Amino acid sequence: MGAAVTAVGDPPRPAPDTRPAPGTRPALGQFLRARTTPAKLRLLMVGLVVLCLIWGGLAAWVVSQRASGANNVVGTSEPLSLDGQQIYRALSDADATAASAFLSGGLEPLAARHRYQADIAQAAAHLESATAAAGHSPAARDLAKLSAGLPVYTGDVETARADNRLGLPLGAAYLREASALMRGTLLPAARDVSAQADAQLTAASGQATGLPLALLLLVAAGLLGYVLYRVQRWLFQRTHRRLNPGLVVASVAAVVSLLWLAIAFFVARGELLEARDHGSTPVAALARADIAALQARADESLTLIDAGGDDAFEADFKTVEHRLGPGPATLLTDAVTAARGSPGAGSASAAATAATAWYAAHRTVRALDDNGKHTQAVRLVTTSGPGHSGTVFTRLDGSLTTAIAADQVVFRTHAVAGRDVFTGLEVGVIVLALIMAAGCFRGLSTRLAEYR
Amino acid sequence: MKPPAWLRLPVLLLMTAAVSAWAVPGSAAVTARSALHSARPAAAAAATSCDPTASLRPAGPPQVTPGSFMAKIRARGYLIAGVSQSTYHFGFLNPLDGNTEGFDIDMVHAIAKAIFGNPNKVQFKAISDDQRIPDVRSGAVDIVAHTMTINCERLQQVDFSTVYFEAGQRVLVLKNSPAKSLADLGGKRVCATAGSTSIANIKAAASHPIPVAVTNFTDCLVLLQQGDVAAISTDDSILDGLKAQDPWTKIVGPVFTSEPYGLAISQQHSDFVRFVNAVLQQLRTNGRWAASYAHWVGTPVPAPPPAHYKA
Repeated sequence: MGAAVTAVGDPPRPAPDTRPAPGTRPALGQFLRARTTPAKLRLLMVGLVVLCLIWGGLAAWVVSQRASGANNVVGTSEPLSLDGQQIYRALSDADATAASAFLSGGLEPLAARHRYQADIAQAAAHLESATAAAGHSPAARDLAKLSAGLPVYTGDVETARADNRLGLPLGAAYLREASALMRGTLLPAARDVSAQADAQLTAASGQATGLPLALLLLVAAGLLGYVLYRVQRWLFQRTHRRLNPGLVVASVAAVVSLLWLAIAFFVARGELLEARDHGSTPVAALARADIAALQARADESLTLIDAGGDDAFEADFKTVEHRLGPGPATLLTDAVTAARGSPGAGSASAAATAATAWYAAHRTVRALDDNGKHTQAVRLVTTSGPGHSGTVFTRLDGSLTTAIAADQVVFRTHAVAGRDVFTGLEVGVIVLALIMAAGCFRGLSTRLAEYR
Repeated sequence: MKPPAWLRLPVLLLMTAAVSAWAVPGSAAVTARSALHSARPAAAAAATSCDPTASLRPAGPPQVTPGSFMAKIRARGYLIAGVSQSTYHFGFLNPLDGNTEGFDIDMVHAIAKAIFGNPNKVQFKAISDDQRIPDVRSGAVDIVAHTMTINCERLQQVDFSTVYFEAGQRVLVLKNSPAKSLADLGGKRVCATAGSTSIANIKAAASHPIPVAVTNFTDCLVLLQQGDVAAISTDDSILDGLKAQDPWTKIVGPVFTSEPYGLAISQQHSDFVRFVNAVLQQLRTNGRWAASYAHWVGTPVPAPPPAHYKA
């Protein structure tokens, strides 16, 4: 059938070999000048097929890089980052809750008991999934440390409770020991896990949205298109045949893959950046603020428990308060800024307001305790009521967790959408590249056949 | 459960980090028992000439005279007392009612009653052993009632009331321990609080135990229960309180030091020292001392330590 097409055509014009093809680059021109037309056609055919295959390989590689980055974001890094945050948060909450429950004496509130148990259960569950996800990454060692330390911590807390129920001062010593283990070993390990997971998430997100490789690919596509165009023009000038079906098919396939790639990269990048800017970034900032708030809350209770008269916990409270804010360059203000435009924005602002109110409530607690009114101070921390430190803190913590949950949804939705854009793309560009190569082969071999 | 060493280590380090000077030279306990220990820090030797238990003689029954420190306390509205909140039966925070209670605390209430007519006009400030002298000297507290041994070295920095309790150092071990005294604990870890006379005595012991200093004696009991120390060595009064919290411990060996307890007061308030001594004298004679002893320490109740005044 190809022969039928060529049979109708004029016999090929004898090529004036010394004349450079108009518009051809000197290198190509020189190359073509040196040979007879069939030789040129054969070379062009081989060259184009090789170019198409190289292009297909390059495109598939870049797409797989980005797709695996996006996959990593959704499938590994995000869950690990979430696990890290949850472990850190749950342990901080356990520390704060165990301390305030202890303050209530032998008859600890049931709600506090349940909250502590839920914290430990949550920490253990996330530890397990994080350990599975972490594999041999640097986080694995910290996770092992956490897995080994958690039962020791809970053992100390239970001993503290048992002694406290018997009315023994020894209980306070066990609780201090538990808290020292939590703050000296477990929380730093949880912080490291969280930081490593966040770094991994940032790297995966960068791999899925990075510009250089994508631009390189688009430039390569442009060059390939240009070469195809030049070859068709040359053929037209040589053979006076307007259309070469094989090359037309190759060109169409090139345009389709170029458009598909450009659109996919553009959309996926948009989704993943949205997931980052209105999802993971505010979530991380909010989680940092929440963890700091929990640390200060534990300080508040431990100051009241501490029987050694050590004011280290109150000093720590002041440090954390300074770090938490609100105020310029503080965790809460950073979180509010990061959450701007995300669904968590409202709750984040509410948290900043609650923090200020909590500090005021805390001052009242300190004033009472410093003036020998320990029992009243404890009541403000452990019971709920208007202006009670415990109540205001619950508002602060609640606002932050609400904001975190809301932005977590944003992250998940956009990250999944960004990943799904890559569905079929890798196979698609390979198939299209094969079509291009086949088109070039077919188109030029038809012309070549005319010389036989 | 015995946790891995790397877990306990940071906790222990935190505790010991707070310890600055366990090598308190010349503790009073040491001076009182010169026959027991031949090796003596030089600083203590210089102070042995003092008569540690001699305090200032009261003018008569306790009286808040105008312009006195007691009058200032009365104007403030409450007495500020530095106490322990973790020494069972002497000064501890009772988790059942949230009150600070104990033998030391009874002494403080009696002083508040003498100033205000109301024993509860007290603000208790929980302090650690090594805060006792700095807090008295800085005026952060009016008085320290904190199982505090009177000795010549401390007398150079603060004043003491007459002796209100007589203790002596012994050793607490787990029931299955073969150790009979400090002599059997050479090379073993033995716990006491930082800044106490006890830790200095452990350090000076001829058998060379390894002293482990923590913040509170209850911290020592935590370490003993977890097998991190082999023994706790301090005043028998404190050990009784620890033993009461863990029936699987026993107190062994002889009393090898003499620890006369006094209430510490700033050297600038000699009027208050005399006032407190007057209150203590009333307690000795009106039966309140014996009642407190019976309630917190147990029976039989010995005769209260007699007041000994400077010439």
